[in-house]
Order: sequence, then C-alpha cells, then structure tokens
Amino acid sequence: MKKQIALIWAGLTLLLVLTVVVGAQTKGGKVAYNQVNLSVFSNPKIMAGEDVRTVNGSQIPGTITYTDEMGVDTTYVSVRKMAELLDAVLIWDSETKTADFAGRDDGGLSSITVSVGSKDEGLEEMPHTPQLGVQKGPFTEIAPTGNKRGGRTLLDHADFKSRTGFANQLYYFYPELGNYIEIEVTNHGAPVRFRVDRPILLGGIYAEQFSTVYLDTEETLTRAFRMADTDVELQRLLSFTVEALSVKNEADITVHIAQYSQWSET
Amino acid sequence: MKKRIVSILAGTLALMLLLTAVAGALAKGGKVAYNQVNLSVFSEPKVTAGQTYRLANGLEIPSSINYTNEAGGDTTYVPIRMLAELMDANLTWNQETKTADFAALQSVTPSDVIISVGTDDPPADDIPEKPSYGQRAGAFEEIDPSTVSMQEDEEQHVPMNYMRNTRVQYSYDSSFPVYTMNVHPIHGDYIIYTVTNNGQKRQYTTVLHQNPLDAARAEPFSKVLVKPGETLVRVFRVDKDVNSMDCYLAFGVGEDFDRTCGSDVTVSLKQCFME
Repeated sequence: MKKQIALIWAGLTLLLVLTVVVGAQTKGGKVAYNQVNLSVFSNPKIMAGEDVRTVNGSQIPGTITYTDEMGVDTTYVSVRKMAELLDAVLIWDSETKTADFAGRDDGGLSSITVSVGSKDEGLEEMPHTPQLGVQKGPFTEIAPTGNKRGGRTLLDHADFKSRTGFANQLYYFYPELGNYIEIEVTNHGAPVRFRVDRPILLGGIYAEQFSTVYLDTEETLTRAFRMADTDVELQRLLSFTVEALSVKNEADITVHIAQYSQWSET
Repeated sequence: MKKRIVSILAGTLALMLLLTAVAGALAKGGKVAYNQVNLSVFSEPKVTAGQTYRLANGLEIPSSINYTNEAGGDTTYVPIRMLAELMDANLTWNQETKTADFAALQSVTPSDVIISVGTDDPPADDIPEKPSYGQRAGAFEEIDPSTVSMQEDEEQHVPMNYMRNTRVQYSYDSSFPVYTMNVHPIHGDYIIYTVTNNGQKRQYTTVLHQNPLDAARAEPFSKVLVKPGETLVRVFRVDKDVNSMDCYLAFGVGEDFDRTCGSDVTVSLKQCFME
C-alpha cells in the first residue's frame, strides 16, 4: 500500500514538473482557440468555434484567447487576416522579423500625388479610351453601354472650372444601392487627363490605378465600373481626378456620377 | 504485485490523459511562442520583439503570439486591443455575445457623445458668420486667419493645392461634393479653406473630422455662413505628432433650402507650412 502511494506520488510529481515546464513556455498564461466572435465595422467577420482561411489558403485559428495568471483574457487575431479584413497593406520583412501594418513603403504600388500641373505631359502616350476589363479590388472597368436602371445620382452635372479641376474626389459606394457606377465628364476647356484610382486608406498614400485617359476640348467621355459584392468595407472606395494637362490652362468640365442596381452589359 | 502494476498503470494513464488535455488545450496540434516579431503601424515602429505591450488600461500582455501549425506554417497574432490603440480605432466588447467589434460604428459607452452629422441643420438664421476660433477636433484646431501670415510666394513655399479656385455650379436638387482629404502634417501644418459665394442664395461651409476607423466619434467644426458675394477663409492648424488615421477632414458646402436657384461657389483648399 505504501509503495502504491509512493508510485502515485511519483506520477503526480512528474506531472507537476511537466506542468511547470509547459507553464514556463506560456509564461504563466494559457491560450485557447476560437473563443470569441470578431466584427469589423459592426459586420460579423470571424465566428467563435471556427477556423479562418487566409488568401493564401492556409487554415488558421480565427482568434486566440490568452489568459494571464490573474485570469484576465485578451483576444489575439492574425495580423494578416486583420489586414485582409481592413484592406490594409501588410509588409512582412523576414530579415528583421517585422510586420508593417498599413505600411507606406511598398514599391509595388503607385502613390497618389496631388498634381498642381507642374509639367506638361506628352499627349501621344495617353490613350483616348480606357482599357476595359481592368480589375482593382472589387471594381472592374466595363464598357459604358447598355440598359441601366435603379439609379441614384451622386453628383448631378456639376461644373468645375480651375487649374486643379476635379481632384482626387473620394466616393464610397454602398453595394446595396447598386453594383454599377458611371462617371460622365464633358470637357468645355483645354485638354484634361481623367484618372480613376482605387485608394487604399490603410496603406499610407497609395492607390491602385485604372487607366488615365486624355479628353480633348468639347469631348464627352463616360466610364463605367462593375463592383463585385465584397465583405471588405474599405474596398468600396473610388477616387476620381480630372485635371488640366498644362499649367497654363484651366480645366472647365461638367461631371455626372451615378450608381445603378441593374445594367445589362452589351 | 498486481496492485502495484494497477497503480503504476493508473498513475501513468492519468498522467498521459492530463498531459494530452493540457497539450491539446495549449495548441490544438500547433505550438505558440510569444513576442517573436517587431510590429510597425503606418511604417512607424511600435512594438519591439522580446517585449510585452502595456494596454491603456495598464494590463501587460504578450505583444504578439506566433502560432505554428503541424505543417510548420507560422502565423503572427496580435492583441486586437493593441492594434485598435495603435490605429486610434474604435473597439467595443460585448460580454454577452462574446463579440469584439473593431472600428465599431457605434460606441457602447453611454458617456461618449455621438454627434449626428447634418441631420439637424440649424435654421440659416442661427448659423454664425464667424468660426469659433480655438475649437479642436482630432489633430486640428481652427484659428483666426488674421493671426497667421499667409505666404503668397508660392515658389518658395510650395503648398499642396487640393483645389485652386475651383468654381462649382450645381442645381438646387444636387449638392456640393464633399472633399474628404488626409491632410497629414508632412504636407504642411496649416490648412486653408476658402469659399466664395457667387450665387443668389446663402451658403455655409462645413468641416468635419472623422477617423475612418472611428465613425462613432465624428467631430464637426462649426458651420459658418457665406452670404451672396462674400468670401470666407477658414484656417486649421495640424498637430505635428499625430496618427495617420486622425488626419482626415471632410470639407463641404451647404445651402439654404431654395428651389428658385442653384448654387455657384468658388472653393480653394490648400495645405502649407507657415512661420
């Protein structure tokens, strides 16, 4: 009987030692997986009890709950998943083991520069029609033809006259109000360039660019974009710029922006 | 002898079961390690590997957890509250539903004042003709334009011209497009917003500060009247040391309800350095 007790004690001691070792690994705290729900902009994104999948396909815990020695819980989320949910630029430097959330320093993206028309550009290189089918985030540029219905107007034929024109105008599109966006620009003045960007708010000053097109005097150009349904709220932004090509001239344009729920593409 | 074997077996079995339970709870087949990485936000170093992080409420926690799955894939996890603090995002926690809401659209603390924007326009007679100088919102303070010397020499002090004498005309059933800008102090520590009313009806200028990740805490500056034929200049000073998310301002123009005529305004918006 004594031996039995001794053996059980030996087992328990071993267990205790092992517990201490394991405890040291977690620094006195404990972790548990997928214990909480996570919403972003008050929309549910990660469910308790469920793993998540990152864009590169790996399945990882949606959240990790860390409980310290005092029993206080803290929720952790994958920094890469969080960047996806917020449309943030995430730059990983494996050499320095540094994650840069909403980092500015990414050579692959072109920056939005607010142009004050500092230099004239070669007109030959600039196309007169946009390249269709270009996709940036949830937006795809499509032909501006077809039957459209169920619209709402965001800007109703407003006239802009100045050297800076219609600069970096930011619009947020609610997909429930329509998946099609149309912008029509009529040029009454000197030649202008007409640029559309998909801004990335959480990446410093960067944006993804659609075509920049040349619009001559007395020309009208309509551009259209289809917006795919997206769960990422901050992907629902477009930025429009129409500005004079030359510092010597002023832009004189009329801009109309509308959103449609139905559009039969032709 | 039999009893001895039974005892050893019982002890071992209990140990194995317990260890399995402990290890399972720990990592579900994966492993965790703490404070392994550096973290920057907006390319500014915020967290150093090897160090813990102290939340605003004083709680000290691992600044990151690295989760390694059975295949060896490594994922970095960060405390969601730390990320919210570093980005000035609104974060709410609902204990009942066990839900964290990052960039929540509503604030749960009743003491926070939620200011509605543009829902209750005061009658035009109540709109002041002068801004309330000294008012602060986010990283900005509205100041008296006469207290700063405007640099007219634009070759020497190149300003960021977001709009330069842009004349905007629109009909009574349309509205001025609100200009939302990230006016980070790296582009200049002063913002000058000028509106001239070329039309027949009264206009007013609106300036709103809103962090995109904290919609619950939008802070409007005062609305200021611009009568027909008049020009209004508003100047805002930007704090030097500021989070990028707190640098958003939305500039607008509103008008009297009047169906007999449209609006005609000229707007300039620039950011520059001043003495």
